[in-house]
Amino acid sequence: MGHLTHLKGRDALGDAVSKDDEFAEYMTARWRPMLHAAVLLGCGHSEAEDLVQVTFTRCYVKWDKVVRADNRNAYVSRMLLNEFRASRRRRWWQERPTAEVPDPAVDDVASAHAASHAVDRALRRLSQPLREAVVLRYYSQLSERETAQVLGIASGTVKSRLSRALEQLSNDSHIKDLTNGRHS
Amino acid sequence: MNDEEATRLLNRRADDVPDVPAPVTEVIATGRAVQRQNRRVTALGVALAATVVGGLVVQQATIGRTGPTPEVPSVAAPEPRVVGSGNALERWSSSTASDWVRTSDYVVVAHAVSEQALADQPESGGSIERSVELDIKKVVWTRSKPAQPLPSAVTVTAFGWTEDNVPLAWSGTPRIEPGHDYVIALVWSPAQCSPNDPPERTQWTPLGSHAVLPFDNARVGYGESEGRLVLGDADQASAGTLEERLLDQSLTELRDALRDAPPPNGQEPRTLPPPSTC
Repeated sequence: MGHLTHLKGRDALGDAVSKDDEFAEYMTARWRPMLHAAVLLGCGHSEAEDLVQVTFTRCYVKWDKVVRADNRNAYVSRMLLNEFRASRRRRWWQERPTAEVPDPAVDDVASAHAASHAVDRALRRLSQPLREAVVLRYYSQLSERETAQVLGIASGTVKSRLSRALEQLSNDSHIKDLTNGRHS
Repeated sequence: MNDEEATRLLNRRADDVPDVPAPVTEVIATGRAVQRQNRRVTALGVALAATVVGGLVVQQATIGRTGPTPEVPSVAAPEPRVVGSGNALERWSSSTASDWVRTSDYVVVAHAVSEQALADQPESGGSIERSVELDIKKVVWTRSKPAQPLPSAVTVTAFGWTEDNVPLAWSGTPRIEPGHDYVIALVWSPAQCSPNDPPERTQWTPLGSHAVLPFDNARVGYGESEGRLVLGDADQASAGTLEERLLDQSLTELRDALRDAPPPNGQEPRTLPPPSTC
């Protein structure tokens, strides 16, 4: 990893360099999916960058635990979810960046983005527990069992949440418009 | 809608997220800084600790400081020297939620604004104490009949430095450093007149060394403790303390803990010694 050259020079221990290389490789591969997952969970784009960066920093500090996890991606997804939930808990008294307009009108955006906004609106109509289950299962591609572990709930609960979420998404007017080709 | 359709749907939203390069170098540099600060310095010893454990004394901001107030040592000061353990030398126990509600007048969220050394030269024990100005951001809990109204700002006398400018910290507790937020259990403390110590006037003071919790970003255990950056790690808080119990939690959980605190075991709710004149 060329961009780590100046950091490597400070390391006295070879295993620290090895750790950095391993971490850098993992972070580079997982940055984009994590960023997407944060947005799908409900973050604005810049907030998602901050959230994922904090998550990866914690990940670096706890790297020994991360590499020992049975499923590294599920473990890190759990860290991301914890950061996301914590950020939502502190919203009531702490200001957050508002770089984006919450709900832009479809007519004002390019048609290429309209479908994305339709999905965004539909996701916002889901309750947060349903939304988290949908993102972990259908975007992060965790199994139902892994999703249950990350959320700390039973697999049966994941099944029922996903079932309810899919039903709601199927009946959502924005999604219907999308599947009828209005935004495609 | 089936699983595949749901996946396609989410990918349509994900594809619209702008592509941003992964800040790997920044994250590793930050992670290393956190790890460096997490390294603890060998304890100096109980004798030195005992000379400064009387710190963490709070004065009302409206009360003027006595004595010289020189500037703080350089920001390039070395890593803190962590001393002592436990709270054997403290007046009140402050480990648990029950301890807090038994004796405190207020539990607040405070932001440390500035700091100053309280003397030019070390005291006889070899340390220089420090005053830290705190803005009260929020009152989390109040005794039904607090001893005094709470001012909007207070000045804390806290651990300072060794004679060679090494920051001093008490094991497992915040130094209280400018720029950070803390949850603090405050008590209106009566005057102290010990034979061999200078008299302490009636003043606001944290209940004890476990009555100050790091609280950056509105989360318990995040911010400064022992003069280092902490991120809610399980091993940073002293065992059995409220900080350990509430790590990574918000004010909601703190309020719940204080509300649900069991009454003290067969003790009077609050037994302060009578006011004395020194």
